[in-house]
Amino acid sequence: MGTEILAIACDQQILRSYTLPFAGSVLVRIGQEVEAGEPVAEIKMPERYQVFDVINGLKINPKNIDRHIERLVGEPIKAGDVVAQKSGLISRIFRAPQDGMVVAIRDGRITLALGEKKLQVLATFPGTVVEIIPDRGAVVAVQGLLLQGVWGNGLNSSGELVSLDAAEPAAVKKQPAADLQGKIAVVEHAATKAAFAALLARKPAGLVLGSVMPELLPALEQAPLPVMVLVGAGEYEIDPLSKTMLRQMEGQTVYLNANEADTSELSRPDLILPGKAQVSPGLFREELRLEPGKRVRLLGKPYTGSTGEIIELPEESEKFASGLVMRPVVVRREDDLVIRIPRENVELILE
Amino acid sequence: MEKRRTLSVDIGSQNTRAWLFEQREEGFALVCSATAETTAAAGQDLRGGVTRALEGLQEKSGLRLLDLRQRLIRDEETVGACGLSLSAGKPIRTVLVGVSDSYSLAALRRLVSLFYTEVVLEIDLQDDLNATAQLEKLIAANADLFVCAGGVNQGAFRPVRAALDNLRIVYQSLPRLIRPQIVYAGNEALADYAREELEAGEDFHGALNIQARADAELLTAAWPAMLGAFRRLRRQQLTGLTELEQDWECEALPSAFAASRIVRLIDRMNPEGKGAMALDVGCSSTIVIASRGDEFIGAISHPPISEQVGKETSRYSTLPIDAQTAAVYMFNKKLHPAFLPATLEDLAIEQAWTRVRLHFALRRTKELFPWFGYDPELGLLDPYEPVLLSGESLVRVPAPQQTLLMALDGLQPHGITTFAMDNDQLLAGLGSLAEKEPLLPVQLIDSGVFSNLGTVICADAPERAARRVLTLEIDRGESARETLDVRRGEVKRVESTPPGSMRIYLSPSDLTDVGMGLPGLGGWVTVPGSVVGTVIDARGRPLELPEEINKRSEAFYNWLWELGG
Repeated sequence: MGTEILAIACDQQILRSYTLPFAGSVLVRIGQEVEAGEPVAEIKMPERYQVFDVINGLKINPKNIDRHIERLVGEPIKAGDVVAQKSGLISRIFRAPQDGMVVAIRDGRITLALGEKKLQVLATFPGTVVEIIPDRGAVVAVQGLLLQGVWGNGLNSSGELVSLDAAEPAAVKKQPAADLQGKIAVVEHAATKAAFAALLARKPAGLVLGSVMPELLPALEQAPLPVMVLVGAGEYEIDPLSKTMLRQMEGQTVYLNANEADTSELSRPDLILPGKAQVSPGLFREELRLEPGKRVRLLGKPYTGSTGEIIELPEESEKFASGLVMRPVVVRREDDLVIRIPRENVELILE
Repeated sequence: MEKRRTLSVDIGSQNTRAWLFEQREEGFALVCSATAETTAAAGQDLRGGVTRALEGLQEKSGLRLLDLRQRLIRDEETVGACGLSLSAGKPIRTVLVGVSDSYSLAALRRLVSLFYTEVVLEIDLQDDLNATAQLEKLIAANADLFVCAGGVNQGAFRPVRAALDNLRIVYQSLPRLIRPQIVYAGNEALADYAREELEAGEDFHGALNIQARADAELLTAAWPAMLGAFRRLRRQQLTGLTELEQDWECEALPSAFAASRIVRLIDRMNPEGKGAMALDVGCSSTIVIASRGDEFIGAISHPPISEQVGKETSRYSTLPIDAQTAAVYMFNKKLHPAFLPATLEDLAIEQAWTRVRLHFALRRTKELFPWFGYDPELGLLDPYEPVLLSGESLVRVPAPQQTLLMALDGLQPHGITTFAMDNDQLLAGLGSLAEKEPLLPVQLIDSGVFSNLGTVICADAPERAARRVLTLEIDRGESARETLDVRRGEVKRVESTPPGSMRIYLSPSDLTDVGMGLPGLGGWVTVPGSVVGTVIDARGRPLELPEEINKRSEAFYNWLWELGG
C-alpha cells in the first residue's frame, strides 16, 4: 500500500483542476488571473423538461396525430408558441410555457426542453490559469501556504482566519452573537453537539476543527458552511506543524476548500493562503516516499496527531503488539520519543 | 515438458495483486504472487501499479516478465494467457427502471449487486409518476448506467416503451464526458425497438429477458450485457485499462464477479455437496457469494459507520471497549483505509467490526435475495460447505483461530461445515482465468491452494448454560479413543492429527441439533486435517452474550483461548 501524503507546506505550488462533468465552454485562458468565485467553465442546460401527451391532452385520434403537431424535433420555440393543436368547434391548443426546444416526438408524446440554466464551475482561490482542459475547464495555480486536513463537508468559502480558545464556544453559548461573521474560525476540538451549535450561532464563514467526536459528524455534514477536520475523529491536539501553519495564516484572508476527502481522487480538504510570489511551474514534481529525514504524522492510538522525523526504515517486517507482522518505520517524535510504527500508519508530510 | 505460464492480475481500490502460474507435470501450480499500490486515482495510469506488481513477480520468480519498455513479454516461454479483474474505481452510479418494485426492480437489484454499482434511482413504472417527472428524475440522477427490465415476453409493453423514450432523451441530450451505458433485459418483444430507438450504438447492451416468464428469473441471461457495460464504463474512467486489455488480449472482469466463478466452480466440483460460499471482508466493502446448483446469490455491501454500528462493534470485542471508542476507530479507518491495527485494542475493534460487517452484509444479502437462508437472529440457516474466507480483514490476522472465530460469530452457522482460507486472496485471480484456462482453477483448488482452516460442528440445544449437550468420541486411528463432553455455552477444539483425517462420533443429547437431520441424532463424521482443527460451537443460536461489558469481553477471550488463539 502506498503512503498517504499530507501537505503542510509553506511555499507550495498549489494546482487545482476545475472541470465540468459535461462538455461545455471554458471561460478562461492560459495566464489569466482568476479570483475566488470566478467561473472557469460553464455549460448551458435546459432548466426543465416537459412531456406532453398529445393524444390524451388534445383528445385526438392517434392515426391523425401528425396533423396536429406544429413543430419538428430540434426546432426552437418561444413561450406561447403553439406546439400542437386540435382545431374545430372547441379547439384545444398546447402552447410552449417557456422558451426552449422540441427534443423528441414519440408515440404521441412531445418532449420539450424549457428555459436555460448555467452549470458553472468556480475557482475556489485566486490564482493563475496554467492549463486549459478542452471543453471541460482549467487548472489554476497559486504559490502559497497549504494546510491539508482529513475530512471536509464539500463546501468552500474564504475569510480572515481567527483562532478560538477551546473554552470560547461554551462561554458564548448563552448569548450567541454573530461575532465571527465573515471569518474562518479554528477550534482545537469539537466535543458536543451543543458546542458545535454554539459555534454555528456565531455565524463564521467556515470552521477548521482539530478533531471531533464521531457523533458530531452528521451535524458537520449538514452544516451550512464549510467545515474541515485536520487530524481526525477522537480527542487530539492539532499537530505542531499544522499549528505553526495556522499561526502564520492568522489574521489573513484564507481560502477554505472543505472538499470531501477521496482517496480514489487523491483529494483532501485544505486551507490556502495565497502568497505574493509568482507561480513557477516546475517540470517535474519530486516523487515523495518514506525516507530518513522526512517528517510524518502518526496514525493510531496512542500517537494520533503527533508528528516526527523518520530516522530509520528497517527492511525486515516485525511483530507489533497486535500480533500482526508489518514493515515498520522508526520515527523520532517532536518530544524526542523514538517509536516504531507500521508504515501504513503514517502520513508523509509534504513541507 | 515446456512450462506454460499464465498471469492473473486483480486491480483493487488499494492494492494491485499479481499471480504467476505454471503448468507442471502434476498440473498447474502457483509460482508466486506480488502486491503493489494501485494507481487508479485521478490522473494516474493503472498500468503503473500493474508494472510494479509484475516487477515483484520478476523478483520472486527470477523470470524476466517485462521488456525494456516495461511491457509484459508475451510468448510461449514467458507468459501465455492473462487474466484481469478489477474492483478499483468509484461505484457506478446506476438507475434501475422496472415495471414493479417487488418484481422487476427486485430482480434488477440482484442483477447489479456484483458489479460495483451504487443504485442512485429506481423508477417503478407502476408509480403514478408522470412522464415529465420521470424524465426530470432520470436527468437529475446523473447516472453512469441505466438498467431497464420489466414485462414477461410478449406481455404488456407501453410503460416500458415510454420509459425507453425518456432514456433516449437522457442519453442523447446530456453531453456527459463519460458516456452512460444502457442495459436492456426486459420483454424481448421490445428489445429491437429499444436498440433502434435509443440510438446508443455500443453503449446499448441488449440481453435476454431476465424474467421471460412470470415464475422464472434468470439473472445469468443479463450477465454478458452487464459485463459489456461495466467494461465500457471502466475503460472511460480508468486511464490505461484499454491499453492493458489490448496488450494482454483479455477483457477485465469485475473482481467480485470473477470470484463468483470460482464459488460456482467449487459447488459444481462437488455436485452432491451442500453448496459453496465465499465471504470477503475488505476495508471498504464486504462480499457475500453463495452457490448451490442453479441457485446463485451474490452481493457487495458497504457497511455504514454510525453510533449504532459502534454499539454493535463494542458488543463483539474481545477487550472491554465502549461504543464511542469503536466509532472513533471506524471513522479514522474510513479516512485512512490502509491503516493496520498495531495495538491490541485496535485489533480487538477491527475484529469486532469484521463480525458486525459480516452481519450487515448477510442482512443486506437477505434483503436482496429473500430466499437466502439467513436470519439476523439465528444466523446462517442454509448449509454451505466449504465457506471460503477472503479479504484483508479476514486474512491479515495474527492467528488463524481469530479468523475462524470471527467467521463463526459473523455467520453463526448451523450443523457441520468447513471453513477454508484464501490466504493468497486468489479468488478473483483464478476467476478471471477460468475461461481461458479452465483447468487451472480446478487443479489449483485440488492442489489445496485454499487452506483448510477448520471443521465446525455447531451444537444447538435449548438447554441451560453449562448442561452437557454433546459427547464426542475421537478416533485418530489409534487403539484408544478420546472422549470429550461439550456443555452449553462452550467452544471446544479438537486438534487435527497430521497427516490425514480423523473420525469423530457425535453423540448429542436428546434436544441437541448437530445438523444430522433431527435433534438428538448423531453419527460418525470424518474430518480432514486442518489448520485450527475441529471446533465445536455449543453456544447456541442466537448467540447469547453477557450484558456486562467486562464479562462479555471475557467470554470472547475465553472462546478464543479454547481455540488456541
